[in-house]
Order: sequence, then structure tokens, then C-alpha cells
Amino acid sequence: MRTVCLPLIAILALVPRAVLAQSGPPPPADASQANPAERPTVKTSWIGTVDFGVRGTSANGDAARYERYRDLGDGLFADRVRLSRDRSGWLLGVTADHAGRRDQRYLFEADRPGRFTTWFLWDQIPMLLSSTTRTLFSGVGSGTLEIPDALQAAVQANPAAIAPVVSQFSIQFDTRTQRRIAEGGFRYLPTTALTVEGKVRHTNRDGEIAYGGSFGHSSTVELPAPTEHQLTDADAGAEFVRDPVLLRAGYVGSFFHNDVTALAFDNPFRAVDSAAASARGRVSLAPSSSFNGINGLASVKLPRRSRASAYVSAGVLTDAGDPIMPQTINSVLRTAPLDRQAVEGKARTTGVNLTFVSRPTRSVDVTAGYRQYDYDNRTPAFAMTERVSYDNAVTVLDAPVHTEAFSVTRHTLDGDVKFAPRRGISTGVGFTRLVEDRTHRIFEATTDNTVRVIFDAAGNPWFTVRTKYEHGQRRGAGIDEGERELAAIGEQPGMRHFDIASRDRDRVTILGSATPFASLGINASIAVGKDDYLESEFGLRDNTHRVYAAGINATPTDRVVVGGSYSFERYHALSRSRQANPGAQFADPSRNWATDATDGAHSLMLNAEVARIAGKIDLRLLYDFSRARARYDYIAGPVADRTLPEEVVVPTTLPPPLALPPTRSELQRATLDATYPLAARLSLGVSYWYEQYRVNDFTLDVDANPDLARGQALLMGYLYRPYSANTTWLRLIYRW
Amino acid sequence: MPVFRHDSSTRTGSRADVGELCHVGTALASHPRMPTRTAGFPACLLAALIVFTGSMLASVAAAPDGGGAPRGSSRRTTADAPPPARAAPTPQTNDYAGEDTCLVCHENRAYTTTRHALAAIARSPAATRGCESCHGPGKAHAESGGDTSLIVNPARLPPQRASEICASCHDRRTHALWQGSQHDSRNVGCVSCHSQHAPKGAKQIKAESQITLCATCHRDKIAKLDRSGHMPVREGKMECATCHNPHGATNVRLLRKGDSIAELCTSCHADKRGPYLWEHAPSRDGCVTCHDPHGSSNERMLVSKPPILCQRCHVSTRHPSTIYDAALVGAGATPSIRIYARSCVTCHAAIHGSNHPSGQRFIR
Repeated sequence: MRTVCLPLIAILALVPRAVLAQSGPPPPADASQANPAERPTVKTSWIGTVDFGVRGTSANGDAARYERYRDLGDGLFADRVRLSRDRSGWLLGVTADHAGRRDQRYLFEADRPGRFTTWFLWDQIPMLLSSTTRTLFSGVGSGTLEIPDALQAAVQANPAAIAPVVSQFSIQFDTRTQRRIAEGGFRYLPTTALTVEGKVRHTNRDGEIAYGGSFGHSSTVELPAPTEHQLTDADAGAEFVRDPVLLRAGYVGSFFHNDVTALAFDNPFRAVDSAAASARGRVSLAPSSSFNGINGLASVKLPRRSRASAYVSAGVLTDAGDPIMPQTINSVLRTAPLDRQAVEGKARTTGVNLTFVSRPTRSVDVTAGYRQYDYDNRTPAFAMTERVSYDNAVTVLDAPVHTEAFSVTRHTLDGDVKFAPRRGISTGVGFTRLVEDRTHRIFEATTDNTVRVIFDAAGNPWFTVRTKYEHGQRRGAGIDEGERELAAIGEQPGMRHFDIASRDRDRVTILGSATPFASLGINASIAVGKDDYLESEFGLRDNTHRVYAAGINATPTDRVVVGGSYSFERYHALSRSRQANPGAQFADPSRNWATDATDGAHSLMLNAEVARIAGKIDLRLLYDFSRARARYDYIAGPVADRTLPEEVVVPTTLPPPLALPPTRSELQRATLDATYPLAARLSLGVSYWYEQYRVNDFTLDVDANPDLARGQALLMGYLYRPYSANTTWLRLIYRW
Repeated sequence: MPVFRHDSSTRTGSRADVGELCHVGTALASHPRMPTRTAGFPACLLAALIVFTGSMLASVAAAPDGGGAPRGSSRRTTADAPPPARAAPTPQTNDYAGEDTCLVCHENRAYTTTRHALAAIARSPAATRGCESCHGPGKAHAESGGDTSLIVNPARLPPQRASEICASCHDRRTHALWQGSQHDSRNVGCVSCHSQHAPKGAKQIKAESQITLCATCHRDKIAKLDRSGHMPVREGKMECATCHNPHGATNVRLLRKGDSIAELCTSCHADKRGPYLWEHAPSRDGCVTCHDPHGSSNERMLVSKPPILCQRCHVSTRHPSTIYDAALVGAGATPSIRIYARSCVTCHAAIHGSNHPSGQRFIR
């Protein structure tokens, strides 16, 4: 534990004696967590709390994962600053969290109730992926990653030299990105019927992420790709309400700029370009783009507790007009002419949403709705006449390959009718029809019909039950053309993309809670379901889920609160394939195999709060436990009960696959918070966090990735690694 | 978070200026200068016309929610009675006991630290009928010594009826689409999640955080926050309402922004939205085809582990249809980069789309 004691002593010494000398009732442990009704109501002067002190963190193992989205560094901290003031009819609020840290957040609000509100937010969200990654490249963070020529030459001359070169010359760097968000906005009510509001939000994200920059199947490279993103969102709108009508109009703008849209990088395995291997590679990164949209909403109240609403939106997404990069950076290869010089990416979106809700009597509830969403991709087709793979070689295509601008139109029709035969009891039926039209997919039209039945018992103080059963059938049209397209690209014609494949779905959810006493609450839920992709000879065949959860909360005395919950999830998926090379194997059913994937998780959460122990100490304990396991079992040959009627079932000729080891991840978290009032306005607090993470993963753990350089692969060393960590706070909580 | 306070002097003034203006129809009806006796047919008709016109004009002009009728129900103030929505029969002003009377017995139920206590907000309880804005006229309840059948208690009403009380004011902006929304239609009401008198968290929710509150019903989603891959929710940098509007939305699944799942996701992950020269169809159709936004045990919140995830759709010849068994994993006898480390996306890095002229297979 690296807890620093001297700063704490200094802080305690700085606490004014006058504060310590004050007397009065002890304050809540943390005013921001306290019941608002207990907050002080000092008029016209600043009130609030500040939480400050020292903190120490100790971690064994993967400290980066412990601090992935937060900064728990050692030293002084100032946290949970909450200040507010009522000044001349203005309510002013200042909030600060994690001041001075990578995850700091500040919010200023000024509110003239019922008239005008404005705010400014500054928020930082770190994402620390690894602090142990290493690379041979210099120029990390830029659009050009380089390796000294001498090292490239050494490895080109002797590929086995990559391991010692990496060991000697690679440098450590943190794989991380950081979001910095600045947001300002206002809301103005010129009249009680009209609200005008606007907001501008700018997000800067920079850092590095792991990215693939391979030079072929036998020369795979992982890169620290730069992330230099600027995203500006602008929202504006006006809402007018005069009974019975509500009208709203809005504008949405989103402007994304990537400072680095192309990344060039050296080949660690080669120093000199050749017609078959490049000394450099180049990839395209995320394109800059902008979206402009308008929307409107009209809603009218009708007699009999009815309401009709209509929403429309229209938008245009365009790229920034950046030029298309040349086919290759390899100086030896000729550069094939491009079909055009810019992407000219453009898509139009439209949305329509009509709803009608009515409760003509207390026992009848009717809801009907129609939704349409259209993503109309108008990016012109681009003809690729020659392909350059991995910057290594030019392949002249027999016929041009054209890009496919995917578009989708969704029409959804919803209807529900509920009856309430008795107070608090309702039962109902509903129907949804979803029709989707797509371009460039194997099913260009799918229709999904779903019926559901619900039964709810709610509205009494003792228990609630909510149940739902739904059955859905999705069917596609036009698969003949889709199968021809699949065959043309070397895919099995019997393969179906599971997100659009024909499917039968059954789902049941039951959710219940009971409050037998005011001091005791119990809840439980069950969710089970199955998706059967009944026409998929290959691809995902079925998918099931089972989720069980239960929880309890009790308040045995007015000073004690305890609770706990447990859930178990189990997901199962079966997908089928055929291991084949072109030729006879392609149609050989004896080469069929399947993956039986099972993913389960146990989760336990416990909490306890005890107030005024020995008359003064408030204590809070939390414990979370989560264990997830997954198995991926290979099955060579046909799968019983999962073959289609038209399938030819033959014994397998594949060698028996070696079973993959199961994966496991386990997270335990325990926190303890205790506060002791020193004076009316000052409390002393101690917090302790403990986390332990355990993981076994055949793709990303240390055993699977013992070295950065293995054969013709060069990685950065981003891994799943276990850790155990703890953090201790010693804090003072001061209240104005 | 500002602490909102109840300024009694302001409230009193606002009541006279705004609150009574809201109920001007009722006020005019009992105004001392209005005719109280039959003064012949023309005078009676004229008086009625004045009262009606005044009532309508005042309702439209002064009630921003359009609710000209006062909140509060008639004498049928039993627990089973309709909530005091604007459509309820017009109560008489002398049915109200006044907030001071309520606080004699219900001092601990005061709402003085909430926005309801801000009289400057024309539609707030402080600016209108105080406690009786939500609980209905309480005079009979008070005079009976606390007969609970003579007062409306939203906590004991069926959820949808209780919500009608709240929605008589909270019917704008983020609440405008409440009626008929997923929660409303499943009998989850305002008071299921919010507490006016004993809140524990921001926005007067019944728990200290949204995670705790939403976990009451959506326990499986909250459990996923503890998986290896997750959004920064448990770290406090996001919350459920960052993506969802539980009060109703124009998007599917109560998503707060956009008109599709992909539009919601790309409102933050704009680098994935393209439009690209070479598109990966499922990423355009919906991010949740491959990702679980609530968390997963797999890297990048993928719903399954590559290459097995990718092999759910890619069964073509050669390496996409290979069985990557234990011999090929990183610790195996013949390790293959196609299953360990980044697996498929080691080479197919531009998996969301590519602008490279040879980007058909998302390698560049």
C-alpha cells in the first residue's frame, strides 16, 4: 500500500479549529448521497459539500484494467464537490468529480426556474487498455509508423531475428485513448407554452488503439493506430404546447473529423519493396463525415384518455470528400487507375413514427403504431478492376468488382389491446409486423410477425407480477438470387446470415416482486427463449437463453439496510459450417462440422448499510461477484436433431477436433465506506476498495500469447491478465 | 446538483398571481362581483357566457400544459377515484384545505427541497395547490381526521392512474411520449421509480443510482456490467439514461437518440458510421448483430469470440471454414494467428467498413 501519510497530516492540520469546535447534530455521511429532504436550506449563500483527502492504490497484475475507465492514482484527491446557491432568483450549481484526474468532470448550472437554464459541462473519460504494450514502431500517435531500416534489413535477411530485435528494440507505451467532452447548452421559456433549447457538445478523443496492419497470411502485424477524433454535435429545438396540442421541431447536426484518415507503416519483416512483398503498408482509417437532420413531432390529446402522435425526421449523412488513397504504397507495383478520386459517400435517412394510444375506459387500453425507417445509401458504386492485397501484389480481376451501398427500409406495424378485468390486473394481446427491404443482401426482403400475450398484476402495495410470452416468425423472400450470389463469392449456398435468416422465436419473461412488510422486498425474474433458424443449413442454427434472477432488500431497523441479489445467465448457440477447399470438398457433406457454444454467468451482489454505530459511525459495505464461463465445443459431422429435412446426412471424414479449453473470467469487488462526524460540518471518512480479476482465455491470456514475435507475427502484447488491487481513501467531508 | 428550496413568500405571491389564474374559471364563479342571484334570462346568459369565455381564455393563456381545469378531483376523493387530472370534474375552491393544514399532520412529507417547491415554475405545486396539486382537495380528508378514503395517494393507485397525475404537468420534452411507452404499457408508473417524498438519488429516483434502480427489473443487463468488456457505467462515466429514455422515445428500445440502433451507437462512435466505399452489411444493419452494448465476456463486447463469431456467417472455402481447434490456439502445437490475439481482425482490421480502393475484404 502506497498510501501517503504526510499530505493527510497536512490536511488535517489545515482544518480550521473553528470548524472542529462547532457542535450540533452529525451530518450525513455524504450529503450528495443523503436524502435531499435532509439537505441544508441556507438561503442566498453557497451550500454544499466537498470531499477531499489522500488516496493510495496498490495493484498486482494488470493495473491498467483496474483503472480502465478511471484514475485511481496515488496522492491528494478532491471529489464530489457539490455547491449550490440561490441568488436573486437564480439557482446556481457547481459540481466537480475527481478534480485534476484523468476522469475529472465539472458541471456548472444556472437556473432561473421556469424561465431559463444554462449549463456547461467538462467531462473526461479515459480508456486505458494496457500499460505493458510494446512496439518497434516510432511515431506512435502520428499517421506514420516507422522502424529503423537497419532493423528491417536484419529481419529481412534473417526472419528468425525478429524475436531478438523486438526484445532489444521495442519500446513500452500505453495503449489508451482519452475522451475530453465540452458541452454547453441552454433552455429558455419565453412563455409558459414555448420552450426553446440548444446544445453544443464537442468531443475530442485521442490516443492509440491496437489495429491490424498485416502483410499477408504469414506476415501479421499489430499496430498502434492513432485515434485523433473530433466530434461536434449541435442540437436545437423548440417545443410549443397549448392544450391539447404539442408541437416540436428540432435540428440535429453531427460533425466528425478524423485528423488521421490514413496510416502508413513499415513492414518489420522487410526492408525493400518487391513485386511480391512490400516494405511499407497503408490502411484507411475512419473517414470524416457530417450528419444534418431535422425532425418534428406533433402530439394531440384526444378525448377518453387518448393521444395521437406523429414524428417525422430527415437527415443526410455525407463524407468529407477526402480523396481515395492510391491502390498501394509499394513503390515497385504500378498503381492501378481509380474509378474515381473521392468516396462521394452519401446516405439519406428518413423516419416516420405514428402512434395512437387510448384508454377509453379504465379497463381497456389500446395502442397502435406505425414506424418507418429508411437508410438510403446513395454512395455511387465504385469499380475495382485490380486488387492489391496487403500492398503485396496486383491481381487483375476477370471482371470489375463493384462496391455495394447497403440500404435498408423498415416498416413496423404495432398493435396492442389490454383489458383490466379487475383493479391492478391486466391482460392483453399484441401483434407486430416488421417488414424490411434491403439492398445487396441474400434476403432482400424479410417479414417478421410477432404475437404476444401479457399478464400483469400491479398497482397494489404487496406484489407485482409481469409476464409476457411472444412468438415470432421471420421469413425471407428472394433467396434464389441470394444463393447464386453466395456461390459466386465462394460461400456455401445453404448459408444464411443470422441477422436476416428465417427464424422462429419464442420468448417468455416473468418478473415478480413482493413486499410482504414495509421493511422487506423480494423480487425474482425468469427469462427464457429460443431462436430457431429453421432454414439455415450453414451459419447460426439456433440460439437460446435462460436468465434467472432473485433479490431481496430488507430494512430490519431504521438504522440498517441489507440487500442482495443473484442472477444466472446461460446462452447457447449452435452454428454449422463445412471445412472445404474449392473443388470437390465444397459440396462434400462429410466435411460438415458445428460449434456448440455455451456462455454462462453467475452474478451476486450484496450490500449492507448501518447508520450511527455507537451513535456516530455510518458504515456501508458492498460486494459484487461475477463469474463467466464459456465453452466452444466442436462437433465433426452432423448434429442430431439439427439437420434440415433436405440435408444429406453422412458420417464425417474430418479428423476429430481437439476440444478448445473453456474460458473463464471472474471479478470480485468489495467496498467499505465508513464516516465519523468530527463536527457539525465536518466528517472523517475511510473507504476501502478491493478488486480481484481472474481470467483464462485461449485467445488473449498470457499462455496464448507468450511472446510479441512468433514466427511471422508481431503483436503489441495487449492481453487479458489477472489482477488484484486495492485502494484506500482517507477523506474529510466538509459541508457548508 | 443544486438544492432547490421552497420560498414561502414567493410561493404565496405566485399563488395569487399564477395559481389562481390557472383556476380562474373557478375563481370567477365565486367572485363576489359576479351575479349570485338570478337576474333574469339575459343577465344570466350573459354572466354564464362571461364565465365560460373567461374560463376558456384564461385556461389557454395561462395554463402552459393546456390544462385549464385545476388539478384536484371533486368530492369523489377515494383511493379508487380517478386521479386529479385536468379532465376531472371541476372542484370547488372550498374543497381545498391548503398546504399549511396538510403539514400539521404530514410535516415529514414536505417537498421543500425539490423543484416542486419552486413557485417560479408556473405549473409547480408550489405555484398552484401545494400538496393538493397531486393529492387532490384535502379539506374533507382533514376535517374527517385523516380518513384515507378521502384523499388521493398516488402510491396506492394503479401505476397508470398515478402516472396520469404526474403527466398532468410532466407532459413535455423528455416526458412527452410517456403515454403508451414500453414502461407505461407494462404498468410501470412514475411512482414505480420515483419518489416525491423519499427520494434517494438524482431526479428523485427511489435508489441511489440508476444502476440500482434499473436492476430492480433489468437485473441481467446490470449483471453484464461486471463482464470483462463493458461500457464505463459501473465507473460512473455513463448511466442507463445516457442511451435510454425510460419515459418514451421515438427510437426503438427507448433509445434516446436517432431513429435506429446504429444511429444511437454512432452518435458517440461516429468513426464507425461511414458511409464507406466498402460496407460490412451487418454493421450497417445494426451494431448489436455483433456487439452486446451492456457487456460481454469477450473483447470489444462481442457477443461471441472470434473466429467463432465470424464463422456464424462466413462459411466460404479455405480459412473461414476451418476448425480452429486446440492445436491452433496460442498455447497449442501449431498456433494460428487466426484464433489467438485479435483473431480475424488482425488482418480484416477495417471490419466496420473501408475506404481503401482494395478494401473489399476489409484488410486495408
